[in-house]
Amino acid sequence: MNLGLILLAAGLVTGQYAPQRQGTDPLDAEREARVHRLGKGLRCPMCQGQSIADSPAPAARAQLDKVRELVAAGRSDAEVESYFVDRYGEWALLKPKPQGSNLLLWLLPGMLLLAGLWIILTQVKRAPTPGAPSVSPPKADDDYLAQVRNDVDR
Amino acid sequence: MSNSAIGSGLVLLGLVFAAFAAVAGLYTGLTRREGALPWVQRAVYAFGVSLIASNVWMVKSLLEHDFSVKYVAQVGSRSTPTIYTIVSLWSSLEGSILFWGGVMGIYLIAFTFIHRKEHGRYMQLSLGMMSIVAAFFAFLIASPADPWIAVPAAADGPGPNPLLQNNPLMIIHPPMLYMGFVGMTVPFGIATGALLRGEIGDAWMGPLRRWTLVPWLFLTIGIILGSWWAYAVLGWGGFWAWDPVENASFMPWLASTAFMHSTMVTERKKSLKLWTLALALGAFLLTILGTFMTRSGIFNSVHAFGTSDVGKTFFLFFFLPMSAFCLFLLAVRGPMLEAESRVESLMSREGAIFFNNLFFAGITFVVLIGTTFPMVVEALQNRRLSVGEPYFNTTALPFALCILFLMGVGPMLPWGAADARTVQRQLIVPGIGALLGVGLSLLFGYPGAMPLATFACAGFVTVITLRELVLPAQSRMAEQKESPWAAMVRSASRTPRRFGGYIVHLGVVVICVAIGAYAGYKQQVSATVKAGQTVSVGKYQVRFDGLDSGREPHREWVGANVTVISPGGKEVKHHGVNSPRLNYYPTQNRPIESPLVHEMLHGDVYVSLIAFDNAAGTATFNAYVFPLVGWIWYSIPFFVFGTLIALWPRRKAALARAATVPGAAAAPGSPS
Repeated sequence: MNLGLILLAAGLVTGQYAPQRQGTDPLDAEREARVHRLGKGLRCPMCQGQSIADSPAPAARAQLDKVRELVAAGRSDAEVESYFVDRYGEWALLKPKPQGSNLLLWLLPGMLLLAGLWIILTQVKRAPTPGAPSVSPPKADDDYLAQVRNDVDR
Repeated sequence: MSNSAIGSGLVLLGLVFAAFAAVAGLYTGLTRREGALPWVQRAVYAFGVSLIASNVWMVKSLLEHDFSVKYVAQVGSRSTPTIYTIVSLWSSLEGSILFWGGVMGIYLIAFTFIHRKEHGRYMQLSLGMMSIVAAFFAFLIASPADPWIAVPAAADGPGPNPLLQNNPLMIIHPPMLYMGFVGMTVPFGIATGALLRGEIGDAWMGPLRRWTLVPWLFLTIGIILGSWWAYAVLGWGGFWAWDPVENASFMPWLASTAFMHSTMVTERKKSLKLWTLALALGAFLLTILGTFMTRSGIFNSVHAFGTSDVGKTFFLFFFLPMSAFCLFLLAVRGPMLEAESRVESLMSREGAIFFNNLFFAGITFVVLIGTTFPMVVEALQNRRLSVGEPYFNTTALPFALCILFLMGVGPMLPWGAADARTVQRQLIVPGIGALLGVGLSLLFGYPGAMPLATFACAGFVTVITLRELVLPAQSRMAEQKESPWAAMVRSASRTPRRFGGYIVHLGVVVICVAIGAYAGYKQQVSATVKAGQTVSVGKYQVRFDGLDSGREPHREWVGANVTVISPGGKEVKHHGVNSPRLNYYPTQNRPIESPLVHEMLHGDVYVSLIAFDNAAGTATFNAYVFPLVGWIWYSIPFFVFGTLIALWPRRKAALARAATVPGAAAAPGSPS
């Protein structure tokens, strides 16, 4: 046993190193993928804007275990989400529900896109219609001007 | 004299000089007294020297462990390694703003010196505007965020934030970002100077573009290094989390990238002038908003350095007035910025750039609204909600894919109007490139709609970009009988912006492919194993060889020795300090992960230690295989090389001519 392990053992005895949470055993691949996808959409309560699928924090791992438990019990995605929303509020969802004023998150960029498209289209010269005269000369009352136009056009 | 007296004296001196330069520059500029320029320049130099000196003095105090200086007492520690003691200059709020002031000093000195021979007509106004920003920063350092306050000296300090000590990338990532953020002050000064003067000709366009390119490069490097740091340190296997502070650095990058493209239309077609200027001002305002977001502590983030009043001061007394001022300038000068030509067809280079700008504006807006929406909702409706990765991925990624596609379309189309048949003929080879992208990924067993679309676009863009890079050289070889190398160098030096830009485009393609492969084909396994057992992830095996631990001056760690076994049976040991570890810092109650990154050119094996049980002899791992992920950061040379080529002074004579012809700076329509 080297010095390091003695140190490690001492640390564990004095409680300096809190044992880290291991998490429950993964489910089969398909359901585990669902757990992961749901976890990606839920906010880790302790940490800094990460999802519970990404965070190594003990609280996040506990929550991911809860998701796994709910998925194993055959709950639907919506039920799992509402389980967390009931406990932690809307804040737990990393993608807000598209309802009420939250809709602005999608509507405003969409409106910007449409407005931008419209501006771009107004920047373009209108293409000449085939067959139509490209420039319609203004009618001249002046005989001299009409004569000049006639000479120039010929 | 004590260190804190000298340091704060230097900051106050800087504040006085910056305030003088701002008042003198703006007053004499607006009243057209051009003889005052040398005095403005001297004040700017003096500001720069004072702030740089104050930074040097802070490093000295940190190295001396002078705990009577408040900032040293906050972040210093006798047990911290020297290199981290030096970088702790920017590891916490007050120090980073002081550092910010120093970088501002470097930029202003460089700008003033390079353009010292320039005519006073807009230099005074530009320097005045930049000095307003400089004075505001000096004020922040002198008062709300003063690092130099004298405190009763303690025997030792807590040391810098452990996350920042965990990896050497932290030494270089923050200064790069700061250089990017602070540097946007220079194009802001140039643009507002030109707008204030009301002489919005072509002469300011060159400096404006070049001085945007410099901070743009730093921002790019800073963002990429930041993602590398997050990947190598945070242990969750990701590199970008749409964290508010990441977004804060991304938004000015997006705006300045859009600027770099729209400026081509402005120069060539004399249109989009108002929009181009708005982008230059917008990039600056977004850096200020970003600073506010990073430094206010209102966001829950890896980067939150704690709450302070600095953010509020920033927002109320700087961001809002500056935004209002920029809008006012654009509104007043708008009529001078009418387009001088109209677009003939959208099937043209300018058409592609229009759409490029639309999509860039779209992403910027999505990021802006997603980042600020929770704040606004909480303030107005007292309702807490989160906007995170799932929102940004579904809204921003389609825009990004469109931009990637346009990166191929744009360079292919000529200015003016494209002939449909020529376009069709030119599309054949890039089309094959796109099919090749899809074919290759299917061949290696990589399906999935989003990655395949990415690879198709990447193939398409690569072929077009390479063709555009090589064609001019080819024609030189044919017509001038030059050697391939000479033809390449000559054609690059004739059109450095074009050539450099396309190299940067190749770098973007590399990043997009890497992200596509990472997002589409990563593999993950979580497992708890005993010593001697293995975890299979993808085609790799990770064998657990037992627990290990160690002590360093500033931390202790527990590691799990592992051996990574490749499909061919080759074993690579990662033991001791190279093992996936949990680091324990005396000031933190939660361990900080330090994952193992087994780097390879075609992908990484990434192992993080999640938990261990010494009694049972087990360790719990998250193991991942990430194909191609390293290419996100290996792309940095493309950006550096491409930008340097684009920045390379073309011909001294031509530049000097442009600078001295007075008509070049005149307003459109005036005789020149």
